[in-house]
Amino acid sequence: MDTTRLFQADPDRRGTDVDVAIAGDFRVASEAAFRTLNQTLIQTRSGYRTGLLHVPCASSRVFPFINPEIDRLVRNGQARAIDPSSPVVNTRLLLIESATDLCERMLEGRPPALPRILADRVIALLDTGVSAARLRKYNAIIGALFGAGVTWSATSAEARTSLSLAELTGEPAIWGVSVSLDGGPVSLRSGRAATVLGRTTFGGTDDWPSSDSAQFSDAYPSGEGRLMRVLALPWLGKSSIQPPEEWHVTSLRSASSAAFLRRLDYFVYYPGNEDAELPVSAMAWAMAHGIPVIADPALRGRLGKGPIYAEPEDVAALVDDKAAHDARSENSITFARQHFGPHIHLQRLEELIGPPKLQRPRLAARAQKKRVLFTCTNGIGIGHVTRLLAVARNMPDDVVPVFATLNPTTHLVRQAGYPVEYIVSSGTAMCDPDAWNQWYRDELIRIMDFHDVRAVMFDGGRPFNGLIAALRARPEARSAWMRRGLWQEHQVNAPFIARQHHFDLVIEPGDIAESSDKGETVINRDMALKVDPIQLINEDELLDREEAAKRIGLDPARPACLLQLGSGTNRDQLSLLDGAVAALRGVEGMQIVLTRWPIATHDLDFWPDTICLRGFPTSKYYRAFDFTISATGYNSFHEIINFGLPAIFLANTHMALDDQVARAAFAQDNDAGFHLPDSRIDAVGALIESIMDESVRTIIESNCRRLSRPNGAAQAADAFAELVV
Amino acid sequence: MNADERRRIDQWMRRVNHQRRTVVEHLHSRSRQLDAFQRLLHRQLEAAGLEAVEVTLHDRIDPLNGGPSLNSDDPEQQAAFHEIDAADLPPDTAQKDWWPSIDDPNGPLKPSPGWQNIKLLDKAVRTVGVLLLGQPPAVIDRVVATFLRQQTQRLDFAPVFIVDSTYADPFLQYGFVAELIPPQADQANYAGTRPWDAYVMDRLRGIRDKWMVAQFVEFGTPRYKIPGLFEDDPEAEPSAAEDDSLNGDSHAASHLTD
Repeated sequence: MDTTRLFQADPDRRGTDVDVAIAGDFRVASEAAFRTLNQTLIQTRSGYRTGLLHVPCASSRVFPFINPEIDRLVRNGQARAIDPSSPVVNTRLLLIESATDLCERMLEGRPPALPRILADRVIALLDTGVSAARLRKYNAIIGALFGAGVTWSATSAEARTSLSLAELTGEPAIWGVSVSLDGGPVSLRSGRAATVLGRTTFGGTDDWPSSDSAQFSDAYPSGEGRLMRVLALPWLGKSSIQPPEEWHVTSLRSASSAAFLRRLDYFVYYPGNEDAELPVSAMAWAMAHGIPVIADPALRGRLGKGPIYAEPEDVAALVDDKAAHDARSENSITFARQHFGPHIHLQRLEELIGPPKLQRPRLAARAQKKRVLFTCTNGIGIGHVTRLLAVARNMPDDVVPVFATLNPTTHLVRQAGYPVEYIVSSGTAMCDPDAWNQWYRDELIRIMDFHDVRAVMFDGGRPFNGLIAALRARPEARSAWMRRGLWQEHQVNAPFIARQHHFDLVIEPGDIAESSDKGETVINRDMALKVDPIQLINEDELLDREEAAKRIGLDPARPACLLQLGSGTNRDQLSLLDGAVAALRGVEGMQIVLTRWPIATHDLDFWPDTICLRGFPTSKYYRAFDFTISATGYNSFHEIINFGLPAIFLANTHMALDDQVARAAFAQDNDAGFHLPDSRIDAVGALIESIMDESVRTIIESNCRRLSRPNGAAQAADAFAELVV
Repeated sequence: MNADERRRIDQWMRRVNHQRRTVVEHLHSRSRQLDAFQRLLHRQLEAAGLEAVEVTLHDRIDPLNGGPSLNSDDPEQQAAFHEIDAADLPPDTAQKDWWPSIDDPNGPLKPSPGWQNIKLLDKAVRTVGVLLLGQPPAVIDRVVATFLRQQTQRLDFAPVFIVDSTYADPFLQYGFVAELIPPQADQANYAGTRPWDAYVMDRLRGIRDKWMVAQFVEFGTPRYKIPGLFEDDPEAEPSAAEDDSLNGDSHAASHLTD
């Protein structure tokens, strides 16, 4: 082995000790950054300890901070940031990225602060073609900084030619692309109807065809069931192209490239000219994870056999052939894992410095059973928590659900047998939402780390900024957004629904009244996996009338009505109950049960001779009742219709809720229940009289059965489980 | 923006702020009235023997595919929650000038002062952390009521309750903030990638920083070494024992940190 000791070791001063030290400007967003990211992940996975020495030297295309993906390596403990004032850095291999930028900085007379480095091997990487004279100058500088034994290695054919022309000592083989497979295989069943195309860009002027050219619109065909996404530097719009409005541009400032790539169906790459800096690592990563790459045939010489080459005008037809996707995906995986897999880098390291010394790589300490996190918004009632519980109890037995909820009904989760953590919502705390989101992000990250979760499912209408930030900070965790439909038509939800791009999977639980749906989810349905309506319990779990009545303290021979008008958080529940109770008292022998929602802020025990029922899930006791007077929240409505309980629906009209009036009206239009507006509560007596007629209840029940649909919880659980790697 | 536009926006903001203050005043008085009215109604119903019956029915909801559950009688299914070995401690992520990171430190939040003293929302009041670990619902009810009384008299603090039970009724009723630390009995079940005590101390430090807790008061047998919270900031640890007015109900205040 070529042993280059740059400085004599000082036995009195112990410094940083790593296997591979990578020196470079880590503020850059470029091919070099993606290479550092992947190589570090591969090294960590295999037990090589990695140190990152940030040397600020690049002059263009840099963030004012460390590239967030590189920063995450340090924050996750996958690499160590090397303090330039360390007394000494001991490393088996020093890899110099940005070697040309570093040399240019030296030529400008601005030498960077560097620690003393003791390295067994030193390799400087050259990415681009450089004139022989310039390269010899660089070699002298690198030699002066790091010792005469520095070896150059080219990452491209043109760089190798430069090394050869400059007659420099170099590694004979190109420093080939090697990508981490830590992300596992990409799910082939996202269930969405839309085809998502995308690419990355580092913002070079040659990176795009002119945006008003036919080549541009042909090569990147959006619309007609196709969606185009770009992962770009924040200043994309100000430089080379003006992306069309319907494109979704994600900023490299805060996104994870792996999370971005795994949400694509195809990586499409057509540059402005064939000399552009190619995102080779991103393409290799995409292919290795089952995302086929479609590229300009002019790049065949540079990219080799992996991509599918097609003329721009053929791209639309290619991606529209949905039947061919899975086979193309398998081919990509086979090819890329052979040519760009982690073994390429590991083999290189083994030859340079030998095997790793760590016995137990940190990442191997994960639980055998896979933990997943279910999290939800606070909500007005308990719908979000209930839906998540429904999915959790349908997960396969090798998946361990844990919960982090903004809803204070933690006892329901604990009752269901799952660990639960509670995060105070900004509404409960009445605090500034922006400041709260930062804490929410941090608390979610803490919970995700502590439980070592591999996937996160969120249920709610609005994924908060803090959630999105936490998912970005832990891109290795897959993510799913479960959002029921029937959003109110007047609500402005476009900014929230756009956040679907931050999730690997979007699940839309069906709604029996979905033919009345006019909300924002309808036009975004092609991005979602549609499942049957989700409910917590199945009909075979309902107690029979005798048993249910006995437990509540009812006489099964007498009529009984269940009043369930929700949590009362955002409507005048007491007046409605007062009207309903008064009318029910007019029915001979009537037994009245009022449900106190687990999230309710006030008591309901103000009516003598009634029963106030606290408990969960109350639908288990439905057979004790002849009918219900109920709100039309998602869960109550579907349990009532699916279990065939005759109902008078009092829909909550609050503007922030889902379209509960549409559900009540739908039931009435289908003779599956009565719809009574709040303002007509005085007419409830007449409806009670009707529903007390057994023949009316029989008709309603039979119509409920006609409308009923299977429980979609198992379908949602299967799709989510598929994400968990 | 020209001067006219600026003036219009200022006027609009003044109107909005005035309306907000009106709403807060309204909430303040109405929530106190509501509480008093409910108590009166309950007393009268009770005196007349006309109480409603309350039935509580919480049923087990088991996994359908034999998956893990804390309620399971099968030790293997319980074990699923604590099979991770303790891994490396997370790295030091403090901002350093030689490693400029994107993340900004979080500013503290102001907790809700609760419905009945909602007017404190606009005032600078200190936050008191009230530790109620291992306490049954009856004690939690009493302590919350005590702190509400004290707050109403003093009008100079907002409590953040820290509990390890999922009982949340008084917090919902009065609009107070409560933080949940998973109960000690569940420690094994919650075992994750860090030792439990380290995790809980992190959690308590997080609560202190998040709400800028000026003082902790602990009820019951001490569960965690709370003074350790202030090792890095000894100035921030006032003695709760010196502050008798916060001791509240002597039955509940069986222990205060010293």
